[in-house]
Amino acid sequence: MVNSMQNLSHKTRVLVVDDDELSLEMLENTLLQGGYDVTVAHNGREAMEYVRTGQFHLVVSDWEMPEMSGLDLCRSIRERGRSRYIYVILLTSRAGTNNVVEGLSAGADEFLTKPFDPQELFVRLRVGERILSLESRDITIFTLAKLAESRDLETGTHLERMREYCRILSEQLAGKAKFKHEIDGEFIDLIYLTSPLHDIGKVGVPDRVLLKPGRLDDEEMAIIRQHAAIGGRTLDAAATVHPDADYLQMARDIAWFHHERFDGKGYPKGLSGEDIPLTARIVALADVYDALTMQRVYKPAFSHEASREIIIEGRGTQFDPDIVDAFLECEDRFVDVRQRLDSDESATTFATLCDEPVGSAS
Amino acid sequence: MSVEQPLDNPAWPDVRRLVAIDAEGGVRPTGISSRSEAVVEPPIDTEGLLRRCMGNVDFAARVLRRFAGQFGGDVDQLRTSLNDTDAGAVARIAHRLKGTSANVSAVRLQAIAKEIEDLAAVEKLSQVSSRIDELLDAWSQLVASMAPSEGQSAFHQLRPNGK
Ligand SMILES: [Fe+2]
Repeated sequence: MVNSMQNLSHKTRVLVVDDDELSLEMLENTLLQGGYDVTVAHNGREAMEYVRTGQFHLVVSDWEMPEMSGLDLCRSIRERGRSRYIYVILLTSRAGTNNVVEGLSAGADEFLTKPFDPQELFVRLRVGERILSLESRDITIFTLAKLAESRDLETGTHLERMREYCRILSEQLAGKAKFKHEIDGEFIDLIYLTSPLHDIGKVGVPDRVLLKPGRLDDEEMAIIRQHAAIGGRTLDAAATVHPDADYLQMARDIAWFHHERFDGKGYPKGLSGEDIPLTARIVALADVYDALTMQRVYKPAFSHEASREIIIEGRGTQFDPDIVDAFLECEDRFVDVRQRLDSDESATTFATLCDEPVGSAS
Repeated sequence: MSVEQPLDNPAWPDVRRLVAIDAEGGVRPTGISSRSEAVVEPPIDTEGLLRRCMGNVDFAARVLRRFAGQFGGDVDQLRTSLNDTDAGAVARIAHRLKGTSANVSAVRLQAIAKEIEDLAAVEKLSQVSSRIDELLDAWSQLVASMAPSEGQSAFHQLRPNGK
């Protein structure tokens, strides 16, 4: 299975459709040189047969072809509608707004004037690839987040608040000389997207432990702590197969290391200091703040002030001192989020100790 | 007028008509530096052709041969459609010829094909016949401009897949 996935991620497939042999050959040569995996079709019907295999997501087609035109091909592709998006570039010698409108309403994504310019073709294809990768990224994250939520016994807003806290902390850190090279807009977008996956490994924790009301014994505690490594390894396998998918690497780091402590006394690996990925250090604080300020069965909700004191106590031991400082600089924003997203936590009828009472060295 | 057929000569087109070695020993498309001095536009914009062939001279030569193979048939079809006074067919064939000429950067052919397409679109078929003659004229010039010059054989033998 891993092998077939690797093959899929190797070269980008492009389907080229043109009734003219000469154009077809030139397009094929260009795309092969550009590192694409090229399949050619000589008419719209042949193209649709390839499309139906589900293996083509980038299509470059001539507009004017006998029988089935490029427009008809676009419409047929869009009529399928049920699978992953197919990005269609139409080649045309037609200029003018009317034709563009006609093409767009048939479902074309982009146009390329004939005779094509190789560099322009590559730029258009890269845009298509980017859109397709964002689509698959969002589907992946959405699916995983739903899975994570199914094992998140707090009410749903925990994940909402978590990602907000992570974004606020990242924005604050981005303004500091030490972090401004590592934290940019993309980092902030990605941590917002991936931080809800921090506890994804709980899908691997048995119900008898995860759902057990009341205190857990040492053995049960050890089992629950495995969620970090389970989530980390799972996402690492995915990240290895898709080395370009930076969101998977970030999600892996977060899932694996969000229970590490700055002083090296955390788990699962006992990493310390800056050996712990920055994203995981940020999530660690956000996760703990949310656990403190929300009511759990085993504890009341602490006030912001009390939670803040506990976090300051953990400065340099449990938490990265720079991140604690950033937190103190923007704590008002934390209070705002908490008030805005403070769901009816009393609806929680049971809880686990998986997010352990914090401050305690675990 | 008959369509000139260069394909009997396996050395056509001569790749040295596409690229030249400049003073620094670099290879560049022909016809570019000379463009400023040229009174008439060269039949092929070699720079455009080579760009579309990703700089592969042998591939460009193969493309030109394929184009030469199609050209005669396209002209025959144009004439037949003209005889049938089928303006739609004339426009369609001219449109296709315009596209393939553009692909190989045969700029003059492309321009004439466009004129024929435009004439057919407004059903002025009476003016098409003379344009077909112009087309053949431009084609002969193109063929000649790519014809092997003296002493090409040794050069061609040096190329791994010289055709
Ligand atoms: Fe956790």
